[in-house]
Amino acid sequence: MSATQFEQIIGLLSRSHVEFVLIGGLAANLQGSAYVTYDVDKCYGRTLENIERLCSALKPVHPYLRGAPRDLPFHFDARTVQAGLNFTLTTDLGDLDLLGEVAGLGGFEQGKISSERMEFFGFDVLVLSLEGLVRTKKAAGRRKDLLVLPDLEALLEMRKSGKKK
Amino acid sequence: MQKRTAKKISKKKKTLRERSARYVVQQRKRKNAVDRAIEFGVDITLLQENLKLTPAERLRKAQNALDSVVALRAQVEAFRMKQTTS
Repeated sequence: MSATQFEQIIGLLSRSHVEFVLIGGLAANLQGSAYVTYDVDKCYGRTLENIERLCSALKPVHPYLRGAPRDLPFHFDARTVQAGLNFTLTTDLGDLDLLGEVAGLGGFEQGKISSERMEFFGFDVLVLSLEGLVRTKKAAGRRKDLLVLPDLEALLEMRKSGKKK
Repeated sequence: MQKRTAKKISKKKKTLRERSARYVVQQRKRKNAVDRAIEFGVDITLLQENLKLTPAERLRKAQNALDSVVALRAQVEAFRMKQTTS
């Protein structure tokens, strides 16, 4: 098992002008959380143009359904993405979750409203805000999501008290 | 008369108990998220350090942490394999 290459995955999609909001553990890290995350979670735009951009951007890194048997006939193309919604993928650059809709958030357009622009490594990336992350983690309600909540809520408080000073 | 006094005392005790319970709840609510996180076991100093970094530095730190975990897992796996074969 090799580690997911965060910068390369973000770069790959950003260079291809794919519309997405970075969510989940990596977004939490970018907001200051200290939890270790293993994959990249993205909420992607569901327009046909964006789906086509997404598919051609990922083609060189061979996206495949994570955990599925290798002989399963799976082609990550616009038709497949349009027919589905959320995909948990493994690629040559590591694990990538593509979500068309996120519990507690909605789709890409709603995600965009709840996100902030961050610039790193020359890319301008939409990252889900702390408030948005808290909402999605509460809505997901899994043990692993609830464990991060005290971290995120403390960061929110620290940010607020930092602004007051 | 005695009965009435006993009733009054028990009523007073009940209100006192209710008031203190309300106070505890209020105090709990008043406690801020940072205190709650510390109580939960979050190392706040890690968060404070992260907030001093730029997003690029935070991303690099997350990558280094993941690389370390993956490398460590591989080492453990290799050690286990060695143990079972020997």
